[in-house]
Amino acid sequence: MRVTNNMLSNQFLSGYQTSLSRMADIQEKMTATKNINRPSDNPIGAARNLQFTSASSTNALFTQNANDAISWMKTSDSNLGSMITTMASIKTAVSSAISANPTTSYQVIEKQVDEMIKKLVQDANSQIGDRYVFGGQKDATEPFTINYDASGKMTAVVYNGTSKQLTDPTLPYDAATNPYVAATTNDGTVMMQVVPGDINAFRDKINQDGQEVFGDMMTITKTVDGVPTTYNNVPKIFNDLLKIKQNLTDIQTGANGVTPSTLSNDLGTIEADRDYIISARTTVGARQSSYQTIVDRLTADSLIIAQDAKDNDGFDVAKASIESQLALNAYNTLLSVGANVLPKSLVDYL
Amino acid sequence: MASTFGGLNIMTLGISAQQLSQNTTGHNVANAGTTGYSRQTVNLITTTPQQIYTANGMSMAGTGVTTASITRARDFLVDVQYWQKNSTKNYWSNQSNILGKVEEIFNDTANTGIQNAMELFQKSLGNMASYPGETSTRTATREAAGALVQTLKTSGDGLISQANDASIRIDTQIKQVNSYSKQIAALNKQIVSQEATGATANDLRDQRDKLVDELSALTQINVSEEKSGAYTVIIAGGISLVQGEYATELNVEYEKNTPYGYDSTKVTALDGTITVNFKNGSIASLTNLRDTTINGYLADLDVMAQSLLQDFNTLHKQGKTKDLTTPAGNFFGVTGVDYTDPAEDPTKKASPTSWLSQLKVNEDFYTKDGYNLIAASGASAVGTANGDNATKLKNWLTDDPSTSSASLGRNSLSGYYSSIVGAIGVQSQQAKNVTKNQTVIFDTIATTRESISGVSMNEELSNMIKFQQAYASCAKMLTTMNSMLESLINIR
Repeated sequence: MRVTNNMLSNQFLSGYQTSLSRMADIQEKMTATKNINRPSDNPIGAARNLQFTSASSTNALFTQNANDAISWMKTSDSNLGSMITTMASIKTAVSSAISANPTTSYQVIEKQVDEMIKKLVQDANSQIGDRYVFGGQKDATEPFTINYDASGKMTAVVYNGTSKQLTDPTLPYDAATNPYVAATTNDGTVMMQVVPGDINAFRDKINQDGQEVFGDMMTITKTVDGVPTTYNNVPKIFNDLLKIKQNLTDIQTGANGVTPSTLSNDLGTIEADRDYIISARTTVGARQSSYQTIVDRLTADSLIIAQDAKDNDGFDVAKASIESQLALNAYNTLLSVGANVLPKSLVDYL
Repeated sequence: MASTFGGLNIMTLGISAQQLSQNTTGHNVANAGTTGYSRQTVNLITTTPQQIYTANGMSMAGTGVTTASITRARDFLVDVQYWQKNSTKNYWSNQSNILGKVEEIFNDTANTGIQNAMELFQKSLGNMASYPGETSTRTATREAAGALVQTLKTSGDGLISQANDASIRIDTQIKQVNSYSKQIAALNKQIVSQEATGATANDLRDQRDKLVDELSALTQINVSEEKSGAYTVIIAGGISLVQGEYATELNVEYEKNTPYGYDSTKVTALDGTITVNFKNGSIASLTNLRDTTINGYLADLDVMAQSLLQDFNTLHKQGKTKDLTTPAGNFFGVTGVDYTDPAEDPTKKASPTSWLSQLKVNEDFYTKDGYNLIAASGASAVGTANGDNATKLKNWLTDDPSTSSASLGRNSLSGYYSSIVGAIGVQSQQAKNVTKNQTVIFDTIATTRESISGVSMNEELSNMIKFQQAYASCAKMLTTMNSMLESLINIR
């Protein structure tokens, strides 16, 4: 083949372009520390990369949710603990009332129980941030309010939150004759998503609502200031405690046939009610530890996702450095050959 | 018996032949850098010999040298291949170039694209699901949705501006085609008249071939040479762009694309009676990119907008607003419009527009306390702590649906988007690879042509010495013959 000067210079220029564009390519990868800088660098890798960024952002959301759920449960747990202590104190106070006592002692005990009920309500109205933890789905409304009569005596504690409801709230729960209204099963449920897919009331529930802490919501009728008054949504435990408080008043006068044995029976009621709150606390505790496990798993997942994303990209500093060195060598060689060959011609020797 | 002065005549012819050869060598060297120049050679032949009678009979005696022709080193078959490969190469280099720009629009490798906007929207919906009662999560969701809409629209605008740019370039390149075909026709005329005498119009032919080179970058052409020496240039569809001294003028008519609204072009010839569809070359490449590729990606973005206006809204309407009583309306678009109603399909209206142009976050959300209209709570919610619908909306973005959607089919929005990214990646990568291959093929042809037609300095310099020596020898011969004649004249 006949070789001309233009062929040499064209070849030099095209080699120069190839070499420089290769250097630019390696430089881009090295400065970004990524092999995939646009979809065409690796179409499949780029599409997979989208899945990894999506997985990583979902993981961050779930981790945040799980941590928020844990702090919600911690608040619930510490308040439930305080409630259980209060219930124990009420029991002690009532049991001290069983043995014969002077009237003044009954008054003191009644006063104590009164204060302790208020303390229970205070704990039941605890908040995390500005959300009430025991109010079911109505997290912005104070869930428990105390009603008083004209003389300032507590008449009923009413629940303003949401929870499951009895078919007939005037009667106690009975699986056969007085079950819960099916449609209200999840009315008190607050959820935070920590696993992908549809949200599930059993799996993703983070709270204990008023019914789960203080018993079924009753409708009661009482004579207040001489007027019969109906209270809806009175939690069973508060209803029990107010009854016991009334018994402590009545025992002083013997009204309504209240005797020390009535109070002994009340001790059993308090015990049962305390167990109910303990079971709520156990549920929260168990859930909290499973959420802790979930946080640990999400953290491990995030590392795996990061590693997968890195593997998918496949950038290797050492490999890139060597490639860059090779490209530089090729470039140097090209320039040196070009500089030696191009300027020479016969005219130099004439 | 040869003429007494015949020798002088031979040497005169020799001197002038060597001089002409040397001049042509000079012409070659001078044009070594001229694009499209092909080296020229002087073809020498001996003059008609003279019959002389010698003692032994008749002999033929040489009478010197003369120039038969000056030809250029050129291979028409290589030229044809060059033009063909040039068209193909330019088709792909334009594809690769513009796809490179299009893929930047869908580039999410730096977490700045549509995917990122979708993730932020998804995250804000997730936060709203956990804290549905809080103003901050609701406004954050509204703003993230606004950012997603903005990103989709910016991407759409990016594609439209690429399409508009393609149309402008097509317009410019058609003007170039017209200019080249006129020049080729003019050169045809000159070449025909110059060659009527039998000579070859080397330099005019070089110029004409150079114009055909330029033309072949723009479109695939079919060139044939008439007996008269004129080129006939035919483009796709059998339209003869140049015939003899006549050139066909091409016209560009602008039109608006529906429903996306970018500028489109139609190229016509013969006063609009014929529509020209180019094949290969940059014009066909740009047309194809605009009408198929960019249009296709605009349609993909439109599908995403459609799904937000239809499926996302339908899901949103199933939830409950913050007060649990106000009915949930559209999240995207305008309150009260049912986008699933075929009558509301913007692409099928009297003046069609794209879904993307209809896409916006419901303006009601921006009124006082409007963020409370976002239906974060599920249908069964009894309190503001219920964020079930926000979770559903969040899941809708990433989870493949169980029933086929009118817009996305069986894909989630993010799944659909990643298929777009995959598609553009493959397309752009293929264009890059084909461009590389076609460049190699083209370079081989270009090298072959250079090998035939190019000027080699060393060759010219060695010719220079050859002709110099020949010239000097002829001159020396002349002197010698002169002195021989002198000797003859001085015999007495």
